[in-house]
Amino acid sequence: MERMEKDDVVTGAAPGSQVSGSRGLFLSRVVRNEPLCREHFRLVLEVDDFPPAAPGQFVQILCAEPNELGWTQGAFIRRPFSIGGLRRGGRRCELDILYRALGTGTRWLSRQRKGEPVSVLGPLGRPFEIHADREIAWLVGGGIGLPPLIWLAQTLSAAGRRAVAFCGARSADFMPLTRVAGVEIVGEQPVLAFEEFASVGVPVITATDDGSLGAAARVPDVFARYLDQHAGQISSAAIYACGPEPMIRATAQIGLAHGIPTAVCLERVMACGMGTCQSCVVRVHDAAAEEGWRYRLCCTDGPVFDAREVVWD
Amino acid sequence: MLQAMNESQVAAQIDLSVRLGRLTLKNPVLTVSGTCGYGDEYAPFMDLRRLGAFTTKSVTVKERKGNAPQRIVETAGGMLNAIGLANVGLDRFVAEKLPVLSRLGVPAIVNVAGHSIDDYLAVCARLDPLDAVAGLELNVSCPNVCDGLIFGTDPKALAELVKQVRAVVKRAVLIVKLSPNVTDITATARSAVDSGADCLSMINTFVGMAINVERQEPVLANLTGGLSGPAIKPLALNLVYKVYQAVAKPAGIPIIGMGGIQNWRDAVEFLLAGATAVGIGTALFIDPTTPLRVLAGLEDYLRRHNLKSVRELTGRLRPNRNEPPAG
Repeated sequence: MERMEKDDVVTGAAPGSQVSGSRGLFLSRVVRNEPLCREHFRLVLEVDDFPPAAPGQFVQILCAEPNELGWTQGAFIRRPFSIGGLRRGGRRCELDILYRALGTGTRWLSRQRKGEPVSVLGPLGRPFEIHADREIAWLVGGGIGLPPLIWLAQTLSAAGRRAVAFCGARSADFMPLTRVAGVEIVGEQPVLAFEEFASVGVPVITATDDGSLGAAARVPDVFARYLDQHAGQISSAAIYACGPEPMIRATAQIGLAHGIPTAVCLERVMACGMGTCQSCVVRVHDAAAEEGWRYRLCCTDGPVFDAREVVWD
Repeated sequence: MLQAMNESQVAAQIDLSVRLGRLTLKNPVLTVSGTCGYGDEYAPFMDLRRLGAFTTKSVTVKERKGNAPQRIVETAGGMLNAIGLANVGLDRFVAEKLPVLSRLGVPAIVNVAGHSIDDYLAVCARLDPLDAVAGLELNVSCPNVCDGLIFGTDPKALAELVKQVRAVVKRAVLIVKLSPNVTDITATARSAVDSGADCLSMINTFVGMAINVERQEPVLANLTGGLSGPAIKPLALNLVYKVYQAVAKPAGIPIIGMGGIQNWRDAVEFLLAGATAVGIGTALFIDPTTPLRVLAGLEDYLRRHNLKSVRELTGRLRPNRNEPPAG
């Protein structure tokens, strides 16, 4: 397939298509695309007229060259990415996307330079609900699960909530966050160590599997110890978790054991992101269903679920 | 503005309408079952009324949870899926989904699946009298349920199924969706047509497999899945051509061609090979506006080739002019 000149690329919308309601198909442009650590990149996309969106929601990015006939090269199906931040100015909107350059799609994405077009579909999914009666937020995240929590921290801070983040990674060089110069990370102390959270006044407790940064521990274990030391806050706190499934599961179990409202942001392999392909299923409790459970879709029923409804097996 | 007027004048001159049995569609671009939900999922992206017809996800008598995840995986030029006919079941379909479909303003074709002839009869007999149902498409070719392939691969079993369903389908257009996972697709096509099908849709997905080499396990929980996307387009095109020549053309039965269509050029290929209409499936996942793109390109193509009706394209394939001289 021949490649068109960039100026002619209009994959944002086909002739006669309409963008209405809360989601749409957009042709964005790359503002920045830079490595953050060993595997993670931060991509900033600018989009015009992006619909209202909230932390927990995601976009489906076409990791391939949009062209006159549709798309070509790169990956075939879109890849879902949590929105890691959103800034608006007039019609223009900037989206922050954090991703790991691992497969065909994300490696293609990592090669895109400033000004290049990227097709974005969204915003998709249901966002985090911020509990009205819980003034403290505990954000528990690991690795590529951090982006929705970064945006959530900004939103919570703007809403006047107090938040503490628990951030984990395999090791220091896999932590997809920007260090604040001169701030030391010692053990399990909450400190304003990372720009993404420090900029909105949210301290972070850091853990790595190998102890190369912060505590040498799993995030849920660090979180459990913190909880024991701050038992008095349990009745006024809510948990928001996103990361690898074992981390989320362990965090959910801690939250459920203490009766703390716990929202988990899940990830599944998906094709459409719009509820049609039915691939991204999550098992949830349903007393009325056969065997007491049924599938719900991560893309449209989630990706944020109440930890109580998920079947943790 | 001037350009817009010119475009609408051109549109008025070109006839995009096609007939599938008794059903007239305003254009030949349809959605494919299993890739567009039950109705309004893509409404935010396009005016669904611009489609020729809308085809629903499979409906079975009883609700089905579907297969365990992982249900899909991308492969070179396509994807494998093993959803397992997850659907809300006949009762909830009629109560909750059909009202949405009836408001779409586009003919709705309901895809029907089952394990036995009685299953198909139950769904078809219930849906046929309903005004909201313009067509019934028999899914005899789902590769992802344990006995889903019997009707699709055995011409005798298929003949019996279509004959019995034909007896209860009096209003809706009866479409049989063929499986490509057979030795001779003209045999199942002939069987469907001889037993009373009004139309054939082809093809369903090809059975495929993907393996995680590090874990030494199948990627899909179901072990195998159905391959769709541009990877299967040449295969689908060949099967449409074969069935058109051997069965559909002599019998005067229309074909809805599908398999990896991404753009107008792909659609034109299917029409030239013998399809009367085309289905857009997996491409909807990537760009829900693909049908509109295809329509715009198709109209432009007809204009460039001085054709008044899209129906002139069906089976228009010419012999290859670059043949080496004989001898």
